[in-house]
Amino acid sequence: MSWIEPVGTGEVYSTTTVRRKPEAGGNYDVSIIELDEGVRLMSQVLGVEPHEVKIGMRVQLRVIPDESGQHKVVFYPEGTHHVQ
Amino acid sequence: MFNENVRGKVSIVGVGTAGCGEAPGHSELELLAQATRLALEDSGLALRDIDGVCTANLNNAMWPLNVVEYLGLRPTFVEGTNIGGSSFIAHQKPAMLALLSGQCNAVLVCYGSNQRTSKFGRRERAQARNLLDPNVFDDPFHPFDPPSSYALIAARHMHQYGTTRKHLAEVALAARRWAQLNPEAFQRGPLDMETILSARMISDPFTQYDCCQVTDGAGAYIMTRTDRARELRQTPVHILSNETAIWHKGVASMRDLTITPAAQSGPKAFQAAQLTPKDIDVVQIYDAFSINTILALEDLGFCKKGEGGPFVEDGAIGPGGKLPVNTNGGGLSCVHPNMYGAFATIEAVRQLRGQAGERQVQGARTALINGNGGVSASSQSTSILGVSDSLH
Repeated sequence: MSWIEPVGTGEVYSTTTVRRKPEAGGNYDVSIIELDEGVRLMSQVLGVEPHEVKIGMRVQLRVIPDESGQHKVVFYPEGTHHVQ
Repeated sequence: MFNENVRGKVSIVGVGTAGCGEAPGHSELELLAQATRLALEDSGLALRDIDGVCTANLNNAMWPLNVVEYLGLRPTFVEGTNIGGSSFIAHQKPAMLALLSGQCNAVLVCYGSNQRTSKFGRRERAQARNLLDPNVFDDPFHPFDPPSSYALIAARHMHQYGTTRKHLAEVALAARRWAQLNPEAFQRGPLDMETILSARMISDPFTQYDCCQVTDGAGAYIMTRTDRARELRQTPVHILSNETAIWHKGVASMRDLTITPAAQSGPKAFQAAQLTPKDIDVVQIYDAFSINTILALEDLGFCKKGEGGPFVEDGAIGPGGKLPVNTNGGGLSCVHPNMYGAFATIEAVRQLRGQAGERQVQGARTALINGNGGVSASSQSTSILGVSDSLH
């Protein structure tokens, strides 16, 4: 077992859209991402509509603040530009 | 060697269910006790004969103490392992060992839940669990679990093998058709493919029809050594084998989302029972979600990995199909009070005794039960049961 520093790229290994009423915040993505180093984690793909997230989609890691003032690791489709 | 020596030496001698569906005003312990009373009556044993207890519960960390006190027992054997809904199948091997070693003489396996009608129901427990047992890696992304984790498994299975929503719907339809033959089942109304395919999504690719129900209910069964079982009230149902496998907790830790620990527990259970899938007359699979039935049929060897979808097509696991699966209606349409393992066991026993009424599988001599536990098929426990002439 050893520490590795991932470069932050990978692909969507599986994905689901959690359905939620618009007044409660609307639908959102939950995905399992496989990093190019071979490890997987649960995360969320942003920058596209939840239903546009597909298995095999190339994604790029980004760290963003979460609701509780901590930070979380999310992903955006590789090569996309996005506004915070 | 050991498994050969215990094969069939312990039997299930009594079964009981209570409060299946809705049981307003009853506590979990009251429902558990009602099922226990019925299992005792069924067996011909008295409560004072019970000197072993296997039980688990999602709300109480020391649940065996609650049960022992409420029933007024003084057991010499207690098994309270909780690995999710498969627990009440996984309890069988420790109970067999205790019975065969002489540590005890009659084991009660019991469970009860009032999650549907209780004020402290499913939603409240989920909130409490997030505080008591947080998952720091998954929680920030708010998976709607357990549906979302199993949905991720289903989505990957569909991607790898071409499994379709129609295949998943076939599982739900078969369960409903069995439930329509079972007066105890909670969901017996009409259901068709179009209704399922056009239903609102919960967590893609699942609609409500892919998800087990939220019901109340209690189940209890009693085990003794087979020599004693032959002197009791019912035809004994022998436990030919029980094997359990646990590989992970959360879905992101699965090495392959399409392979569950039943790929380990299943072959070991068949080997110990000295049987193969072709020898099994009736199958009870813990169908927490429609994908569970497909995964288990593959992992247990009823079909090859990836062929579970085509295997269930055209009503193949429903009444009159090639393999009777979940003949009570399963967790999808019969009963699902959080943890279903006891109910899968009880239905297998009823089938092997020939007491399953309209849904009876004629001439059933062998049954397989496969328990599923955790929010991502984390634990699996497989038992093979048989009537006396299956021992030879």
